[in-house]
Amino acid sequence: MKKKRIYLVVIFIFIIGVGFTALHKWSVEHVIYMTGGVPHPIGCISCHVYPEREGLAANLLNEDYLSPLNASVSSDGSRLYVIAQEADLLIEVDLKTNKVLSNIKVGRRPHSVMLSPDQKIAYVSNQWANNIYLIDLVSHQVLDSIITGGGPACMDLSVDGKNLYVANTYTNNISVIDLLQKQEIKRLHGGNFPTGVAASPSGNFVFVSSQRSLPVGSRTEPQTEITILNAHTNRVEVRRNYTSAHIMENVAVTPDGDMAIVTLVRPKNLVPSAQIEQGWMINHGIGVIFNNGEMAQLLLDEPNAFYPDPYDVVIHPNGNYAYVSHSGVNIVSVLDLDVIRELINNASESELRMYANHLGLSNKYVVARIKTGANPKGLAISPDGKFVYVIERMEDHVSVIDTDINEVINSIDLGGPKRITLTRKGGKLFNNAGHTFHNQYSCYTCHPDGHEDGLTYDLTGSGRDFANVQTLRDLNGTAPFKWIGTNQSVYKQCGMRFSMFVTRTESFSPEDLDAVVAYIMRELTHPPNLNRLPHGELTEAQKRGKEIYERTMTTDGREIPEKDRCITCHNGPNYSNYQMADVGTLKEYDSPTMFDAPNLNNVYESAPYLHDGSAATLEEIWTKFNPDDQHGYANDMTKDQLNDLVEYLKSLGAARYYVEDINYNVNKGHL
Amino acid sequence: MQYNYWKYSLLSGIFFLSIACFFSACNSKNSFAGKVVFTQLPINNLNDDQLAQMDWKYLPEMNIVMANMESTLENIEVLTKDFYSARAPEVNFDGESMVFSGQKDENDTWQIWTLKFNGLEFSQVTQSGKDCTDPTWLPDGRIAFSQLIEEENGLKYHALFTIGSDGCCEQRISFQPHEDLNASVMNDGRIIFTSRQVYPENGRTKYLVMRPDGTKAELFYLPEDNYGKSLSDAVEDDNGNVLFTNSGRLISIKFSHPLHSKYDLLQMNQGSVMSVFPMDQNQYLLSIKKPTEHSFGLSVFSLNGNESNDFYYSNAEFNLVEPVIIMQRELPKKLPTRVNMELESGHFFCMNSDNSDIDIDVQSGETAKIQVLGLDTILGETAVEEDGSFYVELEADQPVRFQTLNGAGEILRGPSSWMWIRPNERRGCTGCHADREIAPENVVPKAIEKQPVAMVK
Repeated sequence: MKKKRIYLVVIFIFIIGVGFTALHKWSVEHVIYMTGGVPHPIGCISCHVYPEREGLAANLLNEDYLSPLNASVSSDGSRLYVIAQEADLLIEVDLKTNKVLSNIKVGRRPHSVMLSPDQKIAYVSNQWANNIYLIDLVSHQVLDSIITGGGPACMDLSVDGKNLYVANTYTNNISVIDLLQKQEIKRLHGGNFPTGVAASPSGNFVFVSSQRSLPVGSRTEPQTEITILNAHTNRVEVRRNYTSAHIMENVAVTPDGDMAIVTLVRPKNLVPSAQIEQGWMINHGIGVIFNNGEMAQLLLDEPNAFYPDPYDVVIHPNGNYAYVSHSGVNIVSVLDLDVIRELINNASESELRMYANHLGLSNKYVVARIKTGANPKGLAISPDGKFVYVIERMEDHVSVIDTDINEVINSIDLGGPKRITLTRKGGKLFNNAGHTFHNQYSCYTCHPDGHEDGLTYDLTGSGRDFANVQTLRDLNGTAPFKWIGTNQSVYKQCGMRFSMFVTRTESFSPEDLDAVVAYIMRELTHPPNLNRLPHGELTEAQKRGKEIYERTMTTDGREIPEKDRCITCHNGPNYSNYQMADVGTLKEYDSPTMFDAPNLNNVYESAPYLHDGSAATLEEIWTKFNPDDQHGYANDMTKDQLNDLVEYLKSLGAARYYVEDINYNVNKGHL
Repeated sequence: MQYNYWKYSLLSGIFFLSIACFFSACNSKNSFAGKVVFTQLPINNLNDDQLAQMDWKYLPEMNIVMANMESTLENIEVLTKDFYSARAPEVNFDGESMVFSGQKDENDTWQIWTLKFNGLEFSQVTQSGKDCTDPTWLPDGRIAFSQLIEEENGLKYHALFTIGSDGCCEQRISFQPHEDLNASVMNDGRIIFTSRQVYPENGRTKYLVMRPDGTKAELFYLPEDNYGKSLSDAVEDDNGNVLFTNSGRLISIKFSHPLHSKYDLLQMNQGSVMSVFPMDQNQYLLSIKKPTEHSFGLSVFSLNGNESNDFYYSNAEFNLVEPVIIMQRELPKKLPTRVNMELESGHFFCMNSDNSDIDIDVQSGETAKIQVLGLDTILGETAVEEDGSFYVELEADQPVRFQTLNGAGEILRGPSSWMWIRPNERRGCTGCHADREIAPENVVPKAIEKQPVAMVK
């Protein structure tokens, strides 16, 4: 009996051993496949637990951070009001004690805060709710809300305090709000993704900067608009474009109004990416507009050191210095504006053009580089200019800079969680350029707010196969990745080949890769698509468009082959079947290939379209690039039908809002 | 069953001893940390000219010495007493070994060696028939060094190589008729080295940087005046400064902005400096010959040029140079490579050949052709596009130069400096001898829209 037990134990151990060996072998092969052929020390938990958004493990592993973005200082310098974007809060800070006084609940994904001239009301833009909240700063109650366009971002008051100008990022327009009537009185067409707003002290103009380039066509340098409004007539006075620049997040005007300064990024997306040295991939700096209309761009980078993702700019009340936050390297640069004035005033046209690419020039006007905490975003300057408050998004902190000595003298804890989770660590890595050669760019640089920058890049360095940057939002369950579908996982996407072709330096360590992937998969998400009716219903045009999207017959009664129906390739919560297809969109500069059907979630904000960005609008996909109906049957449609289809496409939101049409069976190909 | 006292005592003893050894290993410090290692040059073996030009790479009877660094040097130990001559010590990033160049016997060639401090275990790395010198550790554990090249036409110069610390996989990484010497590694993972053209005529010594796979070689710093060969190896500290000596002067330049940030750290009356090593807390260990001394000794200086009173050492019989301190250092970045040794060519393009900082008046659009030159041949010509761009396929690992021609075939500018392409490398320039501090315009060069013109033999 005892011997029998021993035999059973031995056999059991043997079976376990064999099973374990087989399982281990399979898991090693699985990991190699998913990470791109390189043995990788990740475990099951890396892909199957860390990126999860819901469930017990997700709740235990993660925290709810504040993630502050912007702030405003009260006119007496005693209070700082900070937007905690991911917590939907407005945080009031006492600047004498540097302590949080109160947390005020505001709307979804607040972006910016402005204080009324009498300091009694705070205006908070709620970017995911399309409105402005008016907050009573005594009672901390929401007094009112004002509807704006889609995605309200930065704001500024007119000099007389009567109007509030709001950049509506998602709908490319600018709201003019009459604060007496508490309603929007005008909505002006802005640039592409307007974000920053600054009113000139003279009261004559309002400057609105944009994040994305205007549609310029394939293989053409970006042109990004700064919209200048006439503050008296509330009309667009003039539209000026910065060439080969974009991501103009914020703008500020000098106290005497002689110039406006905008932060910007200068991508080299058309340059074959043969190397990264000498600023061959992306540069960063400022744009300047003088009141005589003269425009210039200046870099804040140096030949071997880059200062990516310039986010905010504030100007000292004496008009002599500007402070720029570089979110990608945890630095605030201090600029001597008199040097800049002299440099530009004495430059010829050709010199100005050269200055825009001159990496060695910044040492003339950058007088200090001040180290801050992780991911410095919004800046606020005290009314006397003595302090600059730096909002550190990935620290839940505010650093206080003494402008006399250009050093950080204090740090204000906003009260976020103290535990740094893996996902938070990934957020810091994502937003920091430390993993690229000479810090030239961070993940954020090409994927601002986890989205895409609207450009196509020559990443092969061959002048061919330009690739349209794709969004990183809501990637869970959407593999494979890349236009040609060669990456089975984000691990592979961000792995060794990423370091060879993109970052050009040491690849992420396994621990850092875990963190970055967890952040991307868990935290980056599409904003709500508010192109529908208020409760989510489709408009009439969108309903008609949906019928066209799901149709099986042409307008003249012919059956559409199943492979040529929209819904065949673009179905399900992400509007993709994750299959490869040739839709006839290859151009003369493309290598022969098929493309992975892209997701269509929030496609309205992903222009330009197609793998090479050649379609400036959704409409152009079919009017210019589908002559043979290879990309779905469209040539039989009327213009109205195409318009309706486009309206429906614009209504497609994130997967979490997907409602399956139970009447449609894609396999059977009919309603 | 009787209790076996001795057996269980022995087992327990072994068990506890193992535990003790384990923790002792975990907590063991490097007992050599903090010591200084340097090269001793016999005074009489070097004339002033050689010293001024730092031409001591293959002198006889040099030794590498290790000592404790207190107020002076103590417990001085000659590490390479079994060598005929040795120099150029460099400590590994883990602080546990060093690499150096040594001549085992008088008639031997100079080779690269490693020495593990613990146990003083020597190991020969290179087995070359030619002299090897100036080794430096790479972050992936390999070693970069210079090796003498003797061409069939009599041309002699040093090229850069890399090799595994076990002697495996020796590979040449620089391919120009230059004296490429004094390699060291910067924090960004690139190799910085001194480089002086020797063919077809002698040029000025300058610092170049390149990736450890031999790609993307470019100018880092060019001394404003012509001091001949007398540049030391360059070292980078933790404050973003790159330091080196140039004809006895200690120079600092900013890593972020090297071409225009030169700063003399010492006054001439403080002495003549031969080598520099960055220590902690903004201090630097110098090999310096003070005005009152007859030989180079070791002293510590701070970033503001003040000498520390805490340490000085000199020896009347020797010049003491190339000091390094045994300590752990942060690993530089390990840069990825796309070099593919199965291929035989690479690609090179220029954004706009009219773009130049050479002070020769050339009208925009005047450049009609590019001529590609090999060592003694013309490899080929190609027309430039209307935007001044051109795109060529070059044979890998061969030195080439470019010159621009007008429509009549007359040389407008050139020849350029030597360059090379590694197998599968793609390389671009903004112009012909363009300003290094200017990033390219954001355009698609017309030439890249076509296939490259082959300039292969």
